[in-house]
Amino acid sequence: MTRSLWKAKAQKTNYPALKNNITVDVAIVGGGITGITSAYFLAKEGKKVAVLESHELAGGTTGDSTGNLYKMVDKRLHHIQSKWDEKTARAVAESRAAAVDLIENLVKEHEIKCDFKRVPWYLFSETNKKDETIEKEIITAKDYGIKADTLQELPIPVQVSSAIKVEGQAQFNPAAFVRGLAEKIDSENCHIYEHTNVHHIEKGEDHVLSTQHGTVTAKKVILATHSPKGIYPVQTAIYPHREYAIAAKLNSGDYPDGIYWDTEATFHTSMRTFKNHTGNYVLVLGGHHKVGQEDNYERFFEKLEQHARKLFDVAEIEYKWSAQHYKPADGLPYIGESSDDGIYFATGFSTDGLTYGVLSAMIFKDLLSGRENEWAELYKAKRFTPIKSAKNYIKENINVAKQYLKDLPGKAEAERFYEVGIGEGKVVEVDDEKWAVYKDETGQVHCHSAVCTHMDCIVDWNDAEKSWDCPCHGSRFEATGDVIEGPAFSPLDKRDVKSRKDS
Amino acid sequence: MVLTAIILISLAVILGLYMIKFVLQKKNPPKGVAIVHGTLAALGILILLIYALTTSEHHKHWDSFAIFFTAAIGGIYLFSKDIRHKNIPVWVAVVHGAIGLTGLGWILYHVTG
Repeated sequence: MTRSLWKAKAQKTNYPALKNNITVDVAIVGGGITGITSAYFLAKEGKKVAVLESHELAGGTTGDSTGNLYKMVDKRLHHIQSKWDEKTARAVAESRAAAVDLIENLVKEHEIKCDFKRVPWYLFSETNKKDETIEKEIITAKDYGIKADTLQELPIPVQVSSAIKVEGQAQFNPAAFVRGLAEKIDSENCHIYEHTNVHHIEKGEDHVLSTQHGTVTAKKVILATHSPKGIYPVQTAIYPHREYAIAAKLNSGDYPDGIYWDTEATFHTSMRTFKNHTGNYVLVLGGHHKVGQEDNYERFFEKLEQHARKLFDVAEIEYKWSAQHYKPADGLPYIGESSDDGIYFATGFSTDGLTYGVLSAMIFKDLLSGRENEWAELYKAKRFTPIKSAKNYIKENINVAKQYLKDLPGKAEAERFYEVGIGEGKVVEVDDEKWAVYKDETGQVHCHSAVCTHMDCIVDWNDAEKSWDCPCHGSRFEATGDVIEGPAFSPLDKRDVKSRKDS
Repeated sequence: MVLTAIILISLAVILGLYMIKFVLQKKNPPKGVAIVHGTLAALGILILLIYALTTSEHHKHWDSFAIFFTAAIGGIYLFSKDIRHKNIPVWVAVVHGAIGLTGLGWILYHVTG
């Protein structure tokens, strides 16, 4: 099974589950970096806040992220500049820099033990094919007053054609930061509930969030759940991807801290270092793909390991994990109030989510307190950008339509339950319906409808995470049907295993 | 052109009949079938529209177009309800299907008559 380095190294949490009906000013769904930082600010503003986390704090994407903080963006600033304009790219860089500074200030102010440190960010090309990308980024960086040094070699054992270095970016343990910050939230104003899954939101003047053992009534709701829970038009403009990470413990080699991004690798896109009392590690990350649209997901970890062993003196792979991100249609995240009054969300962060998560909290703090925010308009959730979005929007939504075609009669992966191996999941057609059939290590068969409870796509088995992943909008479910993440509220519908297919 | 439209709409009708079985049993129709059904019907109606706008024939099949267009509005309504997990009113599904079938019968009567 997979396990993130950050979650393993961070302190444990022990917040209660919600067991009664409460009324607050702001209900926050999701206890990741966006939710907890928002709760911190809003409680400080004097708002009564409840945070509802379905698992444990930072137990989702935050704890599975890279731990990198930077003012640049995954798609590069020059891409934002060409798609939008110079003013927008500058605002993106400035807003992200402000978010990184804020994290540093919070860490210092509250002495949060999360290994925060300023480190350089490197961008490099291994061959001259992508030298042009480096050149563009140098020019863009200069335009925005970012000092980028050109290099001929890197402090890690990778041969480069060209490279740049930007000082002053940062790294930390994101799970430790979130759990540490949660302890510093004004407990008079904010209550945190773990293992409290919101399964329904009744929208109205006051929104009512239903959980298993209680309800939360609130005028304002922040869906800090990556893709917002439920059905929203924005889900046609954000595209779910997964990325993989390994933490390789090194036998030898002590490399300087840094964020190392490869411009041209089709698979391995970034590396970073990590040290603690047990030794030196290198983290290798990459292998982007659309959620639920691959076979043999383990191969992504295998390729990362091969790459790590090629470059470094690796003792063992101690941790491996994967995380989800949503690429936005027009290149910028969607942060702000949704089409439903009083319901806010922050999504479409691509792989830049830690910094954008904190930036979202800065924006929510102002919006929910009735103040102007200088970046609110830039990232407005309800913006309409047909020209900037068209290419991705059309391509990705055609892809979604294709995924729906998996729900045609006769298109199942197996005919009978016995074709499903131990520890394996397959989609089986039973009585004109697709079933998600999982056989656990003891041979027990778990049957659910394979129809995603969000918008009815057919889920796909992920052998690396032992999960059912929806290829349309990124909802993910445990092998036993419970929701892990994504826009779906409800678990997969259970099906009775007693069936003629079982014989 | 009209023949192509009839073939596409006939295929859509067959898939529609397959789906109405699910609706009557209060089960969710397979979305893949719904998408193919809608796409075939939309293409058929589009071809009928192009025919009506471009033909010099006396009978432009505007009547059939109007019937299928009405059925299509019902189909869009049903799909939008279904995809958001709202209850599909069975009578709307039945009326939608009946209008579609009537349209197919109507156009066949005029083409073969």
